[in-house]
Amino acid sequence: MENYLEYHELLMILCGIAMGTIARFITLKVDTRQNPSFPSGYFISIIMGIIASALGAVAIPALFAKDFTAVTFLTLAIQHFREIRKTEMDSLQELEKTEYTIRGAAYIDGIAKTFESRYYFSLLTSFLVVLILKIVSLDNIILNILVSAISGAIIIYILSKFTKGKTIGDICNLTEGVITIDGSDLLVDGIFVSNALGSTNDQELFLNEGVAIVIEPKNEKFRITLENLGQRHAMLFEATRTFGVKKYSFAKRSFKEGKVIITFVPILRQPDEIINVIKTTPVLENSRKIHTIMENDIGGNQNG
Amino acid sequence: MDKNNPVILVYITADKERVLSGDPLTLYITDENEKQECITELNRALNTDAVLLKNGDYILITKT
Repeated sequence: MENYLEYHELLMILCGIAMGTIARFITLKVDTRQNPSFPSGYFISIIMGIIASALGAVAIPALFAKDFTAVTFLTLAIQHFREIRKTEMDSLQELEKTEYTIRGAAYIDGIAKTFESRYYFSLLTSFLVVLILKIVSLDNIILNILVSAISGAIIIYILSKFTKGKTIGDICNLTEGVITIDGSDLLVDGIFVSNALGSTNDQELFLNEGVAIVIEPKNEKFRITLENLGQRHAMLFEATRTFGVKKYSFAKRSFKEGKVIITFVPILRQPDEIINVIKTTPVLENSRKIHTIMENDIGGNQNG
Repeated sequence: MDKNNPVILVYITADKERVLSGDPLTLYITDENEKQECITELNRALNTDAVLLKNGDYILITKT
């Protein structure tokens, strides 16, 4: 009987670890944003995901064994995940010097928080899968695997929905702008961007090879998010890192028009693709304002 | 060189009256072609941007 219980618990833990690792694998997105960017970064994330899910998976059996002190290792795990966030932040801050344009503190903070949250995602998935397996307490191996697969898929789906943020494409319309030069002024669709183009060589370069994207919010309230400095840094960074920069890069906002202009001289001139990349730039958590909260009378109104 | 606080490194003018001693370096160049060549070379050497002022003079500033 004792052997049977050990075997059953081992099966539960393995199922939990498997689902937790799958959850981490699903959240590893290798897209235009390239985070993590290299195979080694990818590998580290998978290994850390296995460890996170292992910690989540053994918590329930420890509780049932009345080993309450063993559960406190979860706090150690949380401390460790925070350390991952800090390491990721330090690493990205160091890389700022080598990039075409800076990511900016807001974007780095967002990426680091996402990294941390994905390990909790993994831990929570394995924890809940093991909990469900313990509740249903099935003897059959196939049924156990089936239940863990179904419950894991549902948990991953719910958590993905909960943690999924918006992108610039969701809140803004993007079009290619027309570049003109007046004196040393660089204008995009008649909107002033910079007056640093005094050299005729640079003017010709910008007119022949420059690209300008005009970003207009779909709703007036989205201007708060779009015009945030961190958000503009993030959009410019994504565009320049994907397509390179020969010279100049600007992310200028127009108060009058309520638009943001991203313009630079790319190495690869593909305006439509640049628009797509900017569209997929995430809306940063710290630039996002929740309108329903803003409408509340927190701090009083004109009536007191 | 703080990116948020650009510094004027060179002033290029075609008016002798505007050539004053002191900082920044002021160049007196009347020929437009020579001026453009000079701006290009100085931009490369000093890693600056050129700004054309309304009065026709140029300032070379650290990159913003």
